[in-house]
Amino acid sequence: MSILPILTIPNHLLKEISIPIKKIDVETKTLIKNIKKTLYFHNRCVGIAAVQVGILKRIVAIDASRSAKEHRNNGLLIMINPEIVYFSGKISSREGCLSVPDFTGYVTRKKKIEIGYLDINGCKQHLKTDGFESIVLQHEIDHLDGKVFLDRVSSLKTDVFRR
Amino acid sequence: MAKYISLTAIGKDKPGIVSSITKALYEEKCNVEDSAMTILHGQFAMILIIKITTNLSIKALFNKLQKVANPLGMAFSYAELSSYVPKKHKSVNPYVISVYGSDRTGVVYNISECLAEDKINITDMQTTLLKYKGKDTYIMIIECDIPKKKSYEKLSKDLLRLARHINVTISLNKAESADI
Repeated sequence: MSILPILTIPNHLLKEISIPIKKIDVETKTLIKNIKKTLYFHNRCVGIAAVQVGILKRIVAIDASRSAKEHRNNGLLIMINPEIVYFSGKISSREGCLSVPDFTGYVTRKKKIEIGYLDINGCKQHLKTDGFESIVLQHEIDHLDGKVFLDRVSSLKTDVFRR
Repeated sequence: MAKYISLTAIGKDKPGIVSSITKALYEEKCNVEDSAMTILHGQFAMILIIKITTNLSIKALFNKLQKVANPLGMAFSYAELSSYVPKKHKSVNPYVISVYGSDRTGVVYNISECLAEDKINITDMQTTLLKYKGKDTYIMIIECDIPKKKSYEKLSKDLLRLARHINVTISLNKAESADI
């Protein structure tokens, strides 16, 4: 297992749309192990999308339990081809990102979401979540669609702060 | 009748700047109606809108403030406001434009010219240079007011075209108030 280097803006790969996984092969499983290792290597990191380590595949790893503040969460979640199938409500919060080092910004997102995805064994899963974990998942799925939080800044008054 | 002035002061950042200047204002019974203060490249910059309710002349206030500001190494200026709008300006149709990309000269000009051509008013702008592992990334966040009659689609297309031309990422989002 290795800790993978994180891409930062304005790396052009962060603007690309990641490709769905068709087959969960050995290569994909190794990539997931490395993403997990990279996630836990960074102290305050609660989520990583594959594109952040330079791989344009629709994989995210999150662990909302790593937040300094306690939130309801499902611990480590590995999602392959995640898709938001239902959402409701709005929530604004200050987000940071390993790919936008040293800055945070206020972003408005959906409060409750339901996600369909494949687990590491290729089994279809469905997750209902809300609050912080929902924000983390939306942030990571944005990466899969070529967006960083700076593309979603939407709050008056402004928005981007030094950490 | 009350007089209103704008005060601007900028100088190398150090503790005590705000307290020194506001102490002088307090002693003269001047009210701070509105303010914006920030650090730009190590320089502390402040803009204050001041209400003078006493018979104090603007010149006398300026002299007093200069005595305070000079030892702090602050460059200082003022202007009397001929028209004062007491209520904060509220955007009627606020949008946020975020821009980021490699640092290059002219980004602010290019974007603001695009907005000016579409008669879109900028209500707030912050720019910053993110330095990370030897790379410079420019980030700009603009708040603006898009008149209802103006086409959001047209601005969106214009910005997209500009983003391709100057090789930056530009996103246009409807502004929402943070409610946390």
